[in-house]
Amino acid sequence: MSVGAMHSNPRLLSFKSTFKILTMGINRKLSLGILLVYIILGLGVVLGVIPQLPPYRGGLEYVYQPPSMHDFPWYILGTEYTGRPLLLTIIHGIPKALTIALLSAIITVGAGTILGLISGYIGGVVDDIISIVINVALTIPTYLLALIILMVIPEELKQNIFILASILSITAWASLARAVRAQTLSLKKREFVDVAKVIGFSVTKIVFGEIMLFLAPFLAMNLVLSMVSAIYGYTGLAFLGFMPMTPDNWGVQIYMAIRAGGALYSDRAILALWAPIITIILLQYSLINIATAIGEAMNPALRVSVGETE
Amino acid sequence: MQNLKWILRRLSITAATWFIAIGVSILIIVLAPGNPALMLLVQFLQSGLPYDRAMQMVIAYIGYNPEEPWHLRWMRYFTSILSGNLGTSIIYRLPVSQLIAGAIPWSIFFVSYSLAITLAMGILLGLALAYYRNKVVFSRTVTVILTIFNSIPNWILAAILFVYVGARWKLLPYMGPYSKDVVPGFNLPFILSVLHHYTLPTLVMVLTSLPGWTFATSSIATGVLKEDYVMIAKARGIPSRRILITYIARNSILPIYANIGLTFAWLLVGTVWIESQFQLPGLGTLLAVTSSARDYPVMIGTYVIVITAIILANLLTDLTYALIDPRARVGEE
Repeated sequence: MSVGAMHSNPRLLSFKSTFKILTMGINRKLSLGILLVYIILGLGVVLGVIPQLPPYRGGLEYVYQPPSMHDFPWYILGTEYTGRPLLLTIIHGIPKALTIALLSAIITVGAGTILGLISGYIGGVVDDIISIVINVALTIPTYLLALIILMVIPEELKQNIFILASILSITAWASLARAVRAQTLSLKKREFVDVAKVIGFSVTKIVFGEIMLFLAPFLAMNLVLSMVSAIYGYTGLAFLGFMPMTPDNWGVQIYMAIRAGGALYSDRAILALWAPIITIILLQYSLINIATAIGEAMNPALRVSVGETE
Repeated sequence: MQNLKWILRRLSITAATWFIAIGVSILIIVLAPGNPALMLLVQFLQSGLPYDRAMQMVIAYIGYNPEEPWHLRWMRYFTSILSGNLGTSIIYRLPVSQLIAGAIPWSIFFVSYSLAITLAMGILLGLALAYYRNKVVFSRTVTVILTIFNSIPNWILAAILFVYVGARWKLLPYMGPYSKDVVPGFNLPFILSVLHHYTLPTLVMVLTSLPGWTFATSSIATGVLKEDYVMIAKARGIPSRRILITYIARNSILPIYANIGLTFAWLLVGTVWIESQFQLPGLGTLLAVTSSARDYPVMIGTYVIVITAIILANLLTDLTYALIDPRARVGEE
């Protein structure tokens, strides 16, 4: 039953490690593979390898049509609410979603890291002020404030992906800033910081060269997790109607399948409902798995315990 | 005396946080490009109204002069919030405070009901995951299932259950807070009907917030399992069930207790999607509906109430945490 008994049985141990390589490895590889597919398809759209979206065609004979072999493979999932091929529209949503997620994650992690490092390393009044800012931001849920801002600003500003990404990270940096501050407080008491001071490194070099390097894996993990939240916000706020109602947002597709496609009464729009849902969940699942993998890589203790539990 | 000083200090920090949080939020809303009143004014002018008439219409509609400078607007919002006079709703034509007062009990019920179930299940599952971490099949299955639920956004799960379990298969009620043939009030049929109608929404809340709780509990409990006193308890031959409850559970629950405030906030924001999906009354629906209709007074009022609730929940967690764990009072920097 106990941990010791488990490890004293070599056959069981070797069985366990084989099992782990076979299953855990596949899970991680699969996640990386899924992400790679998204990135390749996204690049395909940006580089123009994947065809442009055909023009909008309303009318019942075009909207939510069943799959067909016409113009293979784009009509394989049928059409969506603008009469365009569903598969192609979903693929066209990838570059924007990934860019906004990455931009938002960079802003979140960047702001959180800079504030946390400065607050933790400099201390004193600067720390007091930044700590108040962090504590206030922690009490304001990101998507609550994002929803209100999205509602107030004019439609044309929402077309700008930089603005959208900033809104999606409006207070998201706070919890990371708190964690980085705590880490910096303990790291600055370590020997290597003393050595760097004696050698005569500047404060900027110690903070952004030495301490930040130490935190790099932790920041990488948070970058991926921030992408997960940004995709949640980007699609979720679109589902509520607070994002530009363009068909390339998967949240809009789900909303339309339920409201306009009659998913409540018939299976007419079943593909248009499930295809964007699966697109979002697969992306989130692979990003979460990659974040966990980074977290375990940086912390071997976690790897042992999680490896056992997973 | 020490305790009283500590409580007073906590209270003043909370009050300061509230003031800054509300002040900054309103500043962001006021400074955000796209003055709604100005947009409305332009709209009226374009429809051919003379300037004076258009201005009167805007003031009647939104309740303030569109050409008011931003700092005066900020002051006006802030003082109206402090005085509790939140204005009149544009779409409902009712006082904002009345609308919000009607919504608060529903949201409090929904969030605390979901929170209680999530807490109980999350802690139990987390402890089991940590204690039986050598049982590969059990722990792997649970972890994979929880990771999948972790990657499903709550609004997607709400939409799926709404469409299939609700509208298509008609297995559970999916619209409204209670059935039409019960009389609202303190009677058994009403309470049962409410619980029945909240089954699906609560399921969404619990399933999507369970993974986070379970993983947090399990990682803390895994740490506790390595403590010497657990090892010695095992050596003494104490039954594993008692070890799990009195040794591991007690020492694992403390560190995660502080997260209750965070989960509360997360669930409260989730009501914006879930309450509006299942057409339940509450703060989330109020925010979703009034935001789409650009009903600014209600929107800002609801926002302020939600932030206030989150700050109060944090205060409550802090105070009760200090009751359970005296170290929290001493350890305050």
